[in-house]
Amino acid sequence: MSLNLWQPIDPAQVDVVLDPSGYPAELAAGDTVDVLRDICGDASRDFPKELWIEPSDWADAVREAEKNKSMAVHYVDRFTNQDPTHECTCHSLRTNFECAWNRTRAASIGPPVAGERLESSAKFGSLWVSPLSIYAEANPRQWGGAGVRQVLDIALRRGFLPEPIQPREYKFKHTLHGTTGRGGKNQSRGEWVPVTRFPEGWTETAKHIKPDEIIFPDEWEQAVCLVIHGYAYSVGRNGHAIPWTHWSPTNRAMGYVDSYDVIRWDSERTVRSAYSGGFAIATVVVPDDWDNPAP
Amino acid sequence: MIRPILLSLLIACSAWGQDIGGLNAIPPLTEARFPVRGLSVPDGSLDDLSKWASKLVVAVDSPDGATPVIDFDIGVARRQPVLYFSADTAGLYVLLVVDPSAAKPVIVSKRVVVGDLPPNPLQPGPVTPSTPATKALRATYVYEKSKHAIPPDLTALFRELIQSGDCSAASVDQDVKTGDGKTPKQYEVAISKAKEAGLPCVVVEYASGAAVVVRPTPDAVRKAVKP
Repeated sequence: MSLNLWQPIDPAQVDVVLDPSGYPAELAAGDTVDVLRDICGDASRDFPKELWIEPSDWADAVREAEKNKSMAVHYVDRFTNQDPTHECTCHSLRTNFECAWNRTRAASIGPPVAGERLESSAKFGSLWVSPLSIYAEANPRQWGGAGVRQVLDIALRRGFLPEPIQPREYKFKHTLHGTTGRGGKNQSRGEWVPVTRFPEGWTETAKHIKPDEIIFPDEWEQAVCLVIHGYAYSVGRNGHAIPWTHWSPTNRAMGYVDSYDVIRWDSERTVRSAYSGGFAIATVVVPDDWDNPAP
Repeated sequence: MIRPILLSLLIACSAWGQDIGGLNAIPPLTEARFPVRGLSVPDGSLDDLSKWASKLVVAVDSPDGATPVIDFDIGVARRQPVLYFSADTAGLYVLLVVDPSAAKPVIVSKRVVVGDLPPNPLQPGPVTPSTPATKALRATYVYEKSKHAIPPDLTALFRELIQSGDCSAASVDQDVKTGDGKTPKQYEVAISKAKEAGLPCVVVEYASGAAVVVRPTPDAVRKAVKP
């Protein structure tokens, strides 16, 4: 699949404003950098200086990342589809997590293709997590969405449950369907499940599938550098939370794997205004054996 | 052969120690990284450090016909000299680093076996450490996430190694933990070796249990995986 990093982008796919998807203004107002850093505590990290790329060098860095398949989107191997739920912050978080997991595993096998399962997902051992396993706790009322601070806190504290659908057999003891929305070939769907009805003993599985450290940049340019270096960057803006995964130097726009089976774009203006309150997962907890991630 | 010019220095040395770390046996054409510990590194400015390093003499005593490659570097942060060494011919090599600028010149050395040594007719049976089995199990880039990026070309090589089935590969932070808060068993060796050698680096582990530390460059890793 072509990322279209250098050709003009369809204007209809830039700065798209959707119907309410789960990140209303009242939740966004509480997701300040200070609040997020406080929630992350010892897991909070500053932007690593070594990842800085001068803006004048971004085009060359993107070419290099494209050649080596090392941008964030190359570590994302599936779409999810939340429609019509309000789970967006958790779908964005799952992309961020799976990107970090695949980066650790050297599984640069993306970009994803809507409606298809990549053969390399099984060979490289990517792992698919359930956004619903976070959302069910973040908003027990099901509708109305969740803040970044809630979902990040939950993920760091107790982790995700894996999807029943996986690219390879991992023999998980506990799983939860991915969404109450549409789902798809690579994401299971099901009915609403409160946390009290999660499978018995589920925390023993979830503790092995969680982020470990989170990066909070100070400038929007640092967010671009993170994406070029292979870190997905989760933000909320215009009522919808998404994960930035690739930068187009010619269009001055950030691409994202939207949770509606589609790639969309944010203009530089939106990136400048939205980066604050966003985050990148720097590291994840790693199992003793990749073939048995949650023993 | 040791260059004759070194002989006078060697004779003048007051201290001579086996104080170079790292593996004692490596496969042919595999770049190994050896931290040099036995020297008195100056505490002064970077300029002082650079001047001191420029006076060091590095040499290798090698088997006839061998063309070893030896490089020398010094980490600014850790202030520890490091030797990078590879050789195409099996045999015993002796690495030497001489610090002639010390009040009493100091020499540190290391014996390294490359590949299989020819049998010693005077001493039947194995006389050398076992060399790593040639099959690589995994290549691990070990880094400190607050300081180092994952090199894009290393990402490409790792993907190639996994795709071709040569070995598994991963990039892990030096403080990586399991869900139980322990160092993952699969990376215990790599992280230990990497911390000893200095980050960032790539540790290649073999079926025999042996491991080598190499620079995080595609060429060095490829040679270590496919010696």
